[in-house]
Amino acid sequence: MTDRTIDIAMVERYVAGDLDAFDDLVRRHQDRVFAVCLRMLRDRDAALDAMQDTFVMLFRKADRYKAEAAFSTWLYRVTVNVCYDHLRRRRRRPIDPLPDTTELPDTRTEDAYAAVEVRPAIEEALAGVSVEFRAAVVLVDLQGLSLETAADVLGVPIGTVKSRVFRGRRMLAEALGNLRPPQRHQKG
Amino acid sequence: MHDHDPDLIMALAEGATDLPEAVGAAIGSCDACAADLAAQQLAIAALRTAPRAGLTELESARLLRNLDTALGHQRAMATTPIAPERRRISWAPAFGIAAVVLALVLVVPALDLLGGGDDAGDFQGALSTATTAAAAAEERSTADVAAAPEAAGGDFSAAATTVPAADGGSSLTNAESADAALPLTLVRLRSLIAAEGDDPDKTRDSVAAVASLTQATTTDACLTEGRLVAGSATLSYTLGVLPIVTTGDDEAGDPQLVTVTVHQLASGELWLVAHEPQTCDTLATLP
Repeated sequence: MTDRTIDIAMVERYVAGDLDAFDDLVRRHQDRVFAVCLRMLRDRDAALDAMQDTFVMLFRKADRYKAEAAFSTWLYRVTVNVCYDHLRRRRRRPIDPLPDTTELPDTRTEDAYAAVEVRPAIEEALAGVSVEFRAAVVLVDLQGLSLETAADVLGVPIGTVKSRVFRGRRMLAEALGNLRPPQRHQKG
Repeated sequence: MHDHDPDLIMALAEGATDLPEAVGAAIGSCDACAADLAAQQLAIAALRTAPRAGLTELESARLLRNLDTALGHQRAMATTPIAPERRRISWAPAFGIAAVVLALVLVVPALDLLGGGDDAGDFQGALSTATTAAAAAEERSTADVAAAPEAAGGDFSAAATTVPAADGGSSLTNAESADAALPLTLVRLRSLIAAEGDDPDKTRDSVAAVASLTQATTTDACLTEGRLVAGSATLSYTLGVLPIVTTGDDEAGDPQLVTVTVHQLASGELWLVAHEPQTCDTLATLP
């Protein structure tokens, strides 16, 4: 069985009333959902909340998934929308994230020190990328989605995703502080 | 001449090897293009070498626990369909409670206890209890309640749902009533259900100041959803759905949730129908 058919079988089992299948789906996808939430929200607690909200949505709306697209694509879409909601709420009621130094080391990374040292730089840089561009960059460059799949997740044309990735990377590079802003283009 | 082509710059940054050498040379000769290429390469390298954002064991365990808490009631309602050989549940308790409720439905209007229609003060309490009692029903109805047709204030329009009788005989339709007593009956009905759980005296005799009641069938065969408005408060509910825990004798010895609805034959005869909560399959009927 492929990943896709395994997912579809699990969803069908869950929709038929098998709650173990729901738990299996959670275990199977929690890392990728969390990764998107963390990169989008930049705060571990907020990401954990958003991940939980995503799976609550899955619990309630799994019957809306049509097997025309991969389940992971559908779940990414739910995840990104939940993150947008959290960001909207945060804008209305801003909360300062905890300092990065209080974050737990990611025990799944091979080098815990690297996780602690590198993550703040990337995440701070991502914070400098506007939300729509950040979503495209996270999906394509961090989650490894194709432009076509990312377009499906975000509900925009492929050309738009490509443009967002391009500009998002440029913003990220500038935020990393290792590149002076590109000069205005001069045809020559 | 060279056009500043983001597609080509992206392709180069991502390591495309099938581009003509001239393209690379052209981009290299354009300051802005070269800067963009460097930015793309830097961002790609930073992102692709970033540590994986994973959950710790503790966070993973907490997620499942939190989901259990957040979805507890719904998870209980969404019981796994029972295999036929295990479906040896005694329906007597479910039908017993439903019969009491039905009696209330029929008796309360007869006692003319509806006079307190303007007593808005008690509505919040009734609403609170009703909300607790009908948590699952609310959950299902809230999202779709906007589809309910608006009715004039105080009007009650029951829509019919058809459920096949378990014995394959005549079909049953939801009890229809134009009785203006129903709003109070509904609240009392919910109060009764709540009383089965915690505080019997809390709101049993609360009287709702019902401004309007609208109702419509849903996509679920056994559910009829509605919305009850009193003052600025709104209660979405599912009429006739009584999540009753029976003391079934299934193999695991676990109590089973069933949905019981009240139906009325064309002849006027009333039936109680027990449904499997998720699939709405008819499990048993009692005239």
